[in-house]
Amino acid sequence: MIIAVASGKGGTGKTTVATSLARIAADKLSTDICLIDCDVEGPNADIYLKPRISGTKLSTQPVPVVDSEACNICGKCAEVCAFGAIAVLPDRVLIFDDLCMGCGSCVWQCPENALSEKDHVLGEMREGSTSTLAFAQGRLEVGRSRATPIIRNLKKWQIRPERNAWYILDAPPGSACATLEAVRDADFILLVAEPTPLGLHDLSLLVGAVREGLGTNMGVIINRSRGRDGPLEDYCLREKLPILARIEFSREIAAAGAEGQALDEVMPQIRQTWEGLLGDIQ
Amino acid sequence: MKIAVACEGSLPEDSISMVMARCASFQILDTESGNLESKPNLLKDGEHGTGVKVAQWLLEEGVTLVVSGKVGPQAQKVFDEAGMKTLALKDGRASDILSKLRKDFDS
Repeated sequence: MIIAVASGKGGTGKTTVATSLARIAADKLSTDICLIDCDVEGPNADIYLKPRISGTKLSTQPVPVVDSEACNICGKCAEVCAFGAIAVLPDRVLIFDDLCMGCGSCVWQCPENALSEKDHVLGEMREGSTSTLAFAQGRLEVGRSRATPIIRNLKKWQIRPERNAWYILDAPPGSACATLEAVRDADFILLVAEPTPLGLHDLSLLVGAVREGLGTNMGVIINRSRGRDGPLEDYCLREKLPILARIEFSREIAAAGAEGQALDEVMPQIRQTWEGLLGDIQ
Repeated sequence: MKIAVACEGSLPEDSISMVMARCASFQILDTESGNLESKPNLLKDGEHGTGVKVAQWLLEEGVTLVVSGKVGPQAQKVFDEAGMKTLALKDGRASDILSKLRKDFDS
């Protein structure tokens, strides 16, 4: 079972929900629980779970390197590159590692066999555990711009059928490639939304992308709820998105979050909500 | 030398484009022959590496000076490495910019 926690807008409480849900799931369910922090541009689930890290692995992608002795500046590599990652100057070839998608076309098509591949480090992946659950996290290297391949590598590394675990994925914000990579093979997507115009706008972009591209079942958790959440509730009703839980707008919860406390530590009654939710998803 | 001005429209009378790689056309002046050409930017709606692709194209056109509002970091690297100059201007018509630059180079 894979449950992805996503939001559209950033800062709505994905990590708060994902980490707390994972803690309660580990308590309640007999299967192993693994929380995977896929927000590789700003990973922070470790702050709430405080795992012990037992292993790390680099996330890499192949990029071309030129053998300047063998290269005769024919320009074929730049011509076949769909991503503008190669420029051919009068006297040499320039390669932009960060634009390269690692497809290998240039290496295949070089008539002089002057191109080979090297590993370009995109970031680091870590795995570990708390006393009750398994934990993994990806971290994009500073200066790199491509989060999606790390998320793909992280999921491939951690999600293995023989593990027979439940995976709770903390997805990155947004509704573009990185977010969709995180949620793409989820069995259920929990959308954490806040009742603000921007929260609703970004939520609707993500809902649209998931419906058009994946068709995954989704449900909404309203965070910073003020009881009646007008336009957001109307939207959920119209789009037939079930509202699964509400987390009240409270200074106490925010302060506990800033201290690195899990939501169920400051709001013990959320346990029942999470248990009900896990039962429904099951 | 060949000067290319990134342009918002297809005519020399159109305004300079604030973004080099996404401009509608380049107005390219050969200062030796005085020949002015308008070349549509067929790459402007590209998704990946558009700056590098446009820079490569201008290099192949023999352009030595590129005038626009702003050049992205990857395209700038191509220009720098290829020894091409860039000039950033905030506004003006391509034709006015070219005639002024031509006068500057003539004098």
